[in-house]
Amino acid sequence: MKKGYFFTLDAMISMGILVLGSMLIFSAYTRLPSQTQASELAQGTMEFLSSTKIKDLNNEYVGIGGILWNAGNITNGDNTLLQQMGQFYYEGNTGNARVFLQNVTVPLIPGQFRLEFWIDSRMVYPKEADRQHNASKNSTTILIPSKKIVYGTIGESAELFGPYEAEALVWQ
Amino acid sequence: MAVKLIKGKKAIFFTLIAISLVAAMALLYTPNPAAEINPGRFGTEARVKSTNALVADIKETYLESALKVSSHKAMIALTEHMKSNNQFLADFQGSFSEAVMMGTIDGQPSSTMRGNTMPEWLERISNVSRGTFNVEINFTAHNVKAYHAEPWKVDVQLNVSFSASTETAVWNMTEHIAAAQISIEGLEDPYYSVNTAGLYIKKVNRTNTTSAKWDASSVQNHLKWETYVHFPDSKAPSFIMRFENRSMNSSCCGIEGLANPQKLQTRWKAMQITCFSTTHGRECAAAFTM
Repeated sequence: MKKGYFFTLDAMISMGILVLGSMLIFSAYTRLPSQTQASELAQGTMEFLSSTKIKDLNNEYVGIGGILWNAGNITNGDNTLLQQMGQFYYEGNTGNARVFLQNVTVPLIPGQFRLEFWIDSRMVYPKEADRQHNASKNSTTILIPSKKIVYGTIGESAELFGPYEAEALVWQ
Repeated sequence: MAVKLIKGKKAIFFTLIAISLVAAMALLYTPNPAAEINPGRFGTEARVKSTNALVADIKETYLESALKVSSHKAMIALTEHMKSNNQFLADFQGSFSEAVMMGTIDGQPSSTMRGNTMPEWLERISNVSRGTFNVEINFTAHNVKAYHAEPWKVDVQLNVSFSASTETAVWNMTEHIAAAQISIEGLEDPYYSVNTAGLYIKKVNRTNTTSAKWDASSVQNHLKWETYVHFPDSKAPSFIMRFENRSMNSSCCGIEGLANPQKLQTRWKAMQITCFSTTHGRECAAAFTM
């Protein structure tokens, strides 16, 4: 009778220890991905921008037949998204570059992450870094930028823009 | 009461100790994914990969784009120079090479070539590569050539050697031939520009009519729209030959067009008024010769 009581108690204590131990182990695992995930997101965003062409993108704002295309702001469907941003920057339309980037990265970057994008050492996105943005950036433990060089031609071999340094920063 | 219950039941303590030890061991030897990554190795690998991609991009895309733009500007600059001096070039290849590599024509700096010579484009990519990836790239370029392989395009080639170095690796590319093709459509025909002292400007505009479909109406359109045509057995000079005023036939790439007499007459009358009322000696003499 008494033995059963002790065995039950024993089992409960051991279960408690096992649960506590598992929680400690798994919490250590769940903390790590947020750091690597941010740099992977930055790399993924840059890879997506530099390898996807305007003509291959189905987006009602930046794709062929979209708002920017119909307004004549985008004329070359063979430009990659990054080249188009470089062209906007070259033409002095950083506003277009910003809205363009915002549109194409919405499905890529989860809400808990922040994105900063620079071309030629000038911040293109966001428009201005507010206090909250800076505080979040300064408090992040890891911040690995992803960089590419962007250049491209405008018209039939008449003009070449760039080469510019393009840099994407993502953090949580 | 409790002491009595516990007394003599040592097993529970052994079990507790055993569980605690196992838990401690599990925590201690749990592999930490972050610690598994060797940052030095990861960094080196990433740098080699990014530099490799940069070198490939320069070789496969950038050199071609830069050569295309530089050569296109050189064609425009040469025509401008010929118009302002009202004379043809003695050596197209030499002048073209001088414009692309040095930004000058007959030793005179060309405003069209400012910022568009090949050494300037190579210096730009070198500076950006240093700033972005900390890669030191040194270029040497020589022997630029322009020729026709087809009537409506000019092929351009440039020999480029370069080395890209980081603290971990070095890439060497020797005597790589960068090639580009420029469309002549939209460029001024220097033959008309020089012979009319800049009064009759005719840009190369290719006709849509194919060789078997010529009739009265297509000839009228050809004249009206001042288009150019290429016939396989053409007796006309190629676009490049027109820079040197060579009027013999090109074996592969002769193009020909008609001057619109109405347009020429209007300008001719305006020219006559100008010539009688003022003194534009050289231009008038050239126009009267025409």
